[in-house]
Amino acid sequence: MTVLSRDDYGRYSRQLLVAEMDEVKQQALSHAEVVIVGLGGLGCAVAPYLAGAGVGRLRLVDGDEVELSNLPRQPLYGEPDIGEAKASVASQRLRDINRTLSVQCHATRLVKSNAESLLRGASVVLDCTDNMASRQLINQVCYQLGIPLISSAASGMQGQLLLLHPHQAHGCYRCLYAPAQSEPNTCLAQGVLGPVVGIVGIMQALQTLLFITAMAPLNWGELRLFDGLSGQWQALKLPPLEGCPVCGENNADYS
Amino acid sequence: MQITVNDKVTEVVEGLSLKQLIEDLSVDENGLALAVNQQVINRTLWPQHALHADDQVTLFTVVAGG
Repeated sequence: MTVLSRDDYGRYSRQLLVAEMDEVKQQALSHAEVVIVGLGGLGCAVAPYLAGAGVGRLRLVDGDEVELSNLPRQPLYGEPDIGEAKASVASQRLRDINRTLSVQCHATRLVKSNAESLLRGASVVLDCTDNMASRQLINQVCYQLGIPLISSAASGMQGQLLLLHPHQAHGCYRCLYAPAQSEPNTCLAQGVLGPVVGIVGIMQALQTLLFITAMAPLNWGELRLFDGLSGQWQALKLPPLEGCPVCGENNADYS
Repeated sequence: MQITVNDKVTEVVEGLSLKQLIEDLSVDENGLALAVNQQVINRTLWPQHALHADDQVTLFTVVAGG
């Protein structure tokens, strides 16, 4: 087993001091590949913590450009970045945080035709997108490819985090919400307060680190609701929907 | 019988369905999801899901923003 370099000991010294962490877990982080789809408020919260913690390979996917209205809640960007591709600005910031990482920049929107190639090979996929169609597509492709999916969302004062593992017998995003239902709330319709989306993204980053290092088992199939007004989290279980077109074949064992 | 809806004690008739509860409460169904006793119940099951005394119903809106 390769030991950590002297630089790595220095860089990661504080997290290596955490009782549940060790060098093997640090190496698990460096060998992991995480795809972050969406580099808005959620992606900006999750990405720097993963880069900082030493997740070895990060794949960033977002087809948008930085806008003035992004700046209150997307701290990877500044005024000089307006008009630039979010994926390339974010990649540069993450390399500034940790030059030992491999950061792949995909300045493109994830759509049906490219979804498989963008997600394939990931240790875990983080859904940080801002619309229902992308969320359903990511859910579907992660189940096809058997990749764990940590999905976060925020709007208004509400945040939601969903932990999905295609090899476990719980429901999926499609079981929570059908694509045929009306478009639920988005930041464009409802607004959002920066720290609300930040808290959910940072919780997503924490769950990702726990998963990759196996520091703690994740509660797969759990939907967590965050209320920004009270600061309270609530945990719900998501059972599989019988005959679900996405996870239906895998959900027979749920109890 | 009594149930709670988002922590508020509510008196409803025995065996009321979730579908009927939503209609009685006149909740906006746009983006609505719900859980009974911390288990999410898919919308397609609302008409057949009968409530029991002391059930805890959680109504929430699915958000998709990011």
